[in-house]
Amino acid sequence: MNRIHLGEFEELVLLTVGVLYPDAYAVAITKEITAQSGRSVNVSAVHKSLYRLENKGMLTSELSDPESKRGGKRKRLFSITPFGKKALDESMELRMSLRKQIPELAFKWQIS
Amino acid sequence: MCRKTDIPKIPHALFKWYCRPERYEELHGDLEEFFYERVDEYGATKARLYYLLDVIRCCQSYAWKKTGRQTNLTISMFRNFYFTAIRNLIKNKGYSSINIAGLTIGMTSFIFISLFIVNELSYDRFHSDYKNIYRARSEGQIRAQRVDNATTPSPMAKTLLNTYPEVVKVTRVRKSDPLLVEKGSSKINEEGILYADSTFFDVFDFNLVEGDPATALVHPRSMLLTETYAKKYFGEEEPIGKHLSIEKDTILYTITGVLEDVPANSHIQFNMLCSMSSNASWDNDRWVDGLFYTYVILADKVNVEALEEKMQDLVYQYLAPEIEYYTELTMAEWEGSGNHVTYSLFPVKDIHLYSKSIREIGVNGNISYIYIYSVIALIIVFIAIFNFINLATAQSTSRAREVGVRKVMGSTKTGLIYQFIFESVIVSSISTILAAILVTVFMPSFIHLVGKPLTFGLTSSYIGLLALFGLTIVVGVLAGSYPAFVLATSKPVDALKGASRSGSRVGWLRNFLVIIQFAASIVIIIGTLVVYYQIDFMLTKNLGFDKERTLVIRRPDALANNLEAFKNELLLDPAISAVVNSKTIPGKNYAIRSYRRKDRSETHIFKNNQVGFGYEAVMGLELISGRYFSQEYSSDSNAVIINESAARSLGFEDPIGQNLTSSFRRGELLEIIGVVKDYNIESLHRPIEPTSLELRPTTTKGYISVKMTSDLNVRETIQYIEKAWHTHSDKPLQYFFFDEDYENLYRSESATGKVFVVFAALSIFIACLGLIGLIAYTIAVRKKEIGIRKVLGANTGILIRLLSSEIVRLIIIATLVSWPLAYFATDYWLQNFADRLDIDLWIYAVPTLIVLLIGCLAISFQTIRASLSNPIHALKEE
Repeated sequence: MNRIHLGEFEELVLLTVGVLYPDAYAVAITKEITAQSGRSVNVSAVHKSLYRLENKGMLTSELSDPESKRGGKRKRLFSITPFGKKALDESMELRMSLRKQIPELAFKWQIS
Repeated sequence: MCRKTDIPKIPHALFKWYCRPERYEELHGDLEEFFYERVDEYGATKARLYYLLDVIRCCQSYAWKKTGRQTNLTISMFRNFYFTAIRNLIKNKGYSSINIAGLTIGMTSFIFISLFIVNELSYDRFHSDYKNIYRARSEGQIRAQRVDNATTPSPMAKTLLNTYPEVVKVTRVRKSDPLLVEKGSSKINEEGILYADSTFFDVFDFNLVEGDPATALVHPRSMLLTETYAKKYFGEEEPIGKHLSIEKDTILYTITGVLEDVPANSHIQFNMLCSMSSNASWDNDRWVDGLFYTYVILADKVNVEALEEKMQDLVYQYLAPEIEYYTELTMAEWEGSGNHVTYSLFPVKDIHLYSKSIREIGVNGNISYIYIYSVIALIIVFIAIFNFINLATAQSTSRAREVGVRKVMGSTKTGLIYQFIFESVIVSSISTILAAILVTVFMPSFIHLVGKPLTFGLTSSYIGLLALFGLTIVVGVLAGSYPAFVLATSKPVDALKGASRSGSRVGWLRNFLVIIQFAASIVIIIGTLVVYYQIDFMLTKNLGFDKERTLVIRRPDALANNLEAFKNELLLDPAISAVVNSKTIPGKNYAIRSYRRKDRSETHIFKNNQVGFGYEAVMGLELISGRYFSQEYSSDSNAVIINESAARSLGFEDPIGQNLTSSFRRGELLEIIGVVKDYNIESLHRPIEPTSLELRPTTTKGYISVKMTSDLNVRETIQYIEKAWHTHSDKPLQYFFFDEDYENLYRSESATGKVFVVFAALSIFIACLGLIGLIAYTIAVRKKEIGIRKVLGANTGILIRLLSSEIVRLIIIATLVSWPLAYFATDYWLQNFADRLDIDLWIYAVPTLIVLLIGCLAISFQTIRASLSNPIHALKEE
C-alpha cells in the first residue's frame, strides 16, 4: 500500500488543525470538533491523534507563550506540513473520485 | 489549605507520576484549561470529578514516561529469559523437580508456621480499645511461695472505678463450673458458661446479632447465646425471650441476646453468657481470695505504673484487716515474715502469650513457643534456599556455555544477573503456587496438629496474598542472587571453553551451606528428641500418686443425700476396688490453708484437700510414717495428714502426734496422724508444694474418684456406674479419666512435640533432597576422573570412599557446630519446667548418626551407580 493511511478521526483532527490555523492546540481542536460534528470528543483522544500525526510527519508544532488561563503553562500549537496537506488532498481526492464513480442508478430508489 | 477551585492534589500527583516530563507542561495545561472552564460552568465538585476522569483517560502511551530503554526491547528480553528458564527446567527434569520440591516443602512449612504465629499474635486485638484494656491481678509472696493470680476479689472492680479517675470502665467476669442446662426434655451439661457484669459490652467488642448490649446483662437470670448455641437450643426459632433452665433452678433464665461466635483469637472463650446479677451473693465485700476476672479500661495515656503504685493503698485499706483476721497476725507482722500482696494491671492484649498467672480463664499460649516456632520456620525456609543455591551453583557448569555466548553477543553483567534472578523467581513462583495449594489441602491436618482453630487463613485478607507475593520475590531473589553473581562474573573465554572453573571455585561456599543445612537438621532432631522425652518423662514420671484406671465423677453434689448409698453401691461391683470423694484431685485447683505449730507463732500455708476414707488407696499415696484416716478413730475429724515437704517446713523431729492450730478451724487442735511421700498436685512446670489432707467424708463438693481393678471391661464398669448414678440422681453423670485429664496439663507441650516431629522430618527431607542433587552433580562433573581411576584399577570400595569422604567430613563439622547450639536451645525450652529431664549423650549422638546414615545412603546410591558404570562411556567423548 503506497497510499498514506489516515484514520477517520485523524482526518477530522488534521482538517480542524487547518481550520483553526494559526491557533490550533488540543483544547481548541476538541471544542471545534465537538461544535462542528456534534459528537462528544475527549481531549485525550485528540492528544493521541495529534501526537500520532506529528510522528507521521503530517503535523508540526511549536510552543506558545504562557497563558494564565492554563495555570501559566504554555500550549503546543500545531500546523499542517506539506506532507500533511498531501495526505489530506489524496484522501479527499480518493473520496471524490469514488463518489463520482457511483452510478446514478444507485440513487434511483423505487418504492416497490 | 486547599481550595475547592484548585487542581485536585491526588489526581494531579498521579498525572505527574506517569506523565513524560517534556510533555507535562502542554498536556497538563490542556487539562487545567478544561478544569477552570468547568469550574465556572458546572461548579467545583463536578469539575474535580471530570478532572479525575481526564487524568485517567490521558494515561495512554503518548503521555507515558520513556523507560530507560525501549520498552518493547525489555519485554522481549524478559520473554527470552522466561523461555530460557522454562526450557532449562524442562531439560533438567530431575534437578528442577528436586529444586521445586525442596522449595515447595520449605515454603509450605513456612506458610503454616507463619499463619500459626500470626494467629497467636492476633489475640484480643479485635477489641476497639484493646490498648487500654487491662485485667487486674494479685501477685505476691505468701509463705515463700510466689503467687500470681489472674483473679481478684469481687469488690475490686467497683473500688477501682470509684477510687481512681484514670479508670474509665470496669467489668467483671466469672467462670462457671459446667452446669446442667435443660430445655424441654433435653438435658445437657454445658461447659463454657461465663457470668459477666452488665458493663461487659462497654469494655469488650463482642458483636451482638440480636439484643441490646446496654441492657442484655442487666437483669438477673439474663442469658446471651452464641449463634451456634442459639441454633443448638432453638434451631430456626427466634431465641429472644425464650427460657432455659439451669441446674434445675425454678427460676428460668431468659435469652436476651444472640452473639456472633466468639473469635478463636479471644482469650475469653464462652458459649453462654449470663448476667452476674443472677447470683446476688457474688456482690460482696470480701477481699480474700476472689474468683473474679476484673477488666478495666483506662483513659488514654494513663501512666499505668503510677496507677499500680496507687493501687497498693487498696491492699492496706481493704485486704489487711481480713488478713489480720485470718492469720491472727498484724499486717506488719505478716509482712515482716516475708509475705506480701500487690495488685497490678496486666494488659489484655498480652494475656494470651505472656500471662503466667494461675487460675487463668482458659489455656494460654506462651511467647517462648512463638520464638521456637519462628526459628523453626526460618530454619526450614533457609534450608530450602541453601538447597537451591547449592544446586544452582553446582549446575552452573552446564550453564557456563550459555553465559559465554550471551556475553560474546553483548549481554551486560547486570543483564545476566537479572536473567538468573528472574529464573529463580520463576522457580519460587511455581513453588509458591504449589505451596499455596498444599496449604489449602493440608489446613485441616495442621489445625489438628496444633490443636486449635485459626482465625486467619491464607486467603482471609488481601494481606495474606500480598505477603505470599512478597515471599515469592524474597525467596527468589535470596536464592537466585548468589548463583546469578557467580555465573555472571565468569570470564567469557573460560565459559566458552566449557570447562568452567566456577564449580570448584565456589566449592567452599557449597560446603559451608551443606554444613549449615546439616547442622540445622541435627539441631532440629535433637530438639525433637528433647521435647519428646521431656513430655514422656512428665507423663510417666513417678508423680507420687497413681492416675491409672481411675475414673473421676464430677459434681457429686447432684447426689445430695445419696452420696454414701451411691458409693456403697459402686463397691458391690467386683471390678471396682475403691471409691472416694474428695474436694479436689491433683491437677485441679487446690485451696490454701494456714497452720501454726502449737508452740510457735509462725504461720505455714499448705495446699489443702478434704477427702473421704480410702483416698490414699485410690490415689496410691505412699505412707512414710503414722497412719491414714480410719473410721475406727472418731477423733480423725480433727486429724491431718501432711506430705514430706509440709513436714520439713513445720520442722518437727517426729511429726506424728503433734498438734497444729488453723485459723480456718478457729482454735481446734489438729493432730498430725500421718506423713505421706511427696506427690505432685500440679503439673511438673511447678515444684512440689507442701500439702495437707483433712478428713471430710460427707463433702458433696469436688469429685468422686473410682478405682477400677483392671483395664479390661471398662465399658461394662462405666455402664454399671451410670446405672447406679441414675438410681440416686436425676442429673446426668459427668465423668472423665484421671490420666487423660492430667495429660491436658501438658497440652501445649504435646502440641509442640508433634509440630516438632513433623517439621523435623520435613527439614531433614529437604536437606537430603539437596544432598542427592548435589552428589549427582559432583559425580557428573567427576565422571571422567572416575573413569580414569577405574581404568587404572580402582575398585568400587575405593571410589565410594573417595566420593563420600568429603560429605562425611562435612557432617562431622556440622555436628561440632550443632551440639552447642542444640544445648542452648533445649536448655532455653527446659527452663519452663521445674522437673527436668537429664540429658544423656545419646540424645546428641543419635541425631548425628541419623543424619550420617541418611546422608551416606543418599551418597551410596549415586556413587555405587557411578562406580559400577563402564568407564568407556565416560571416556569415549574425549
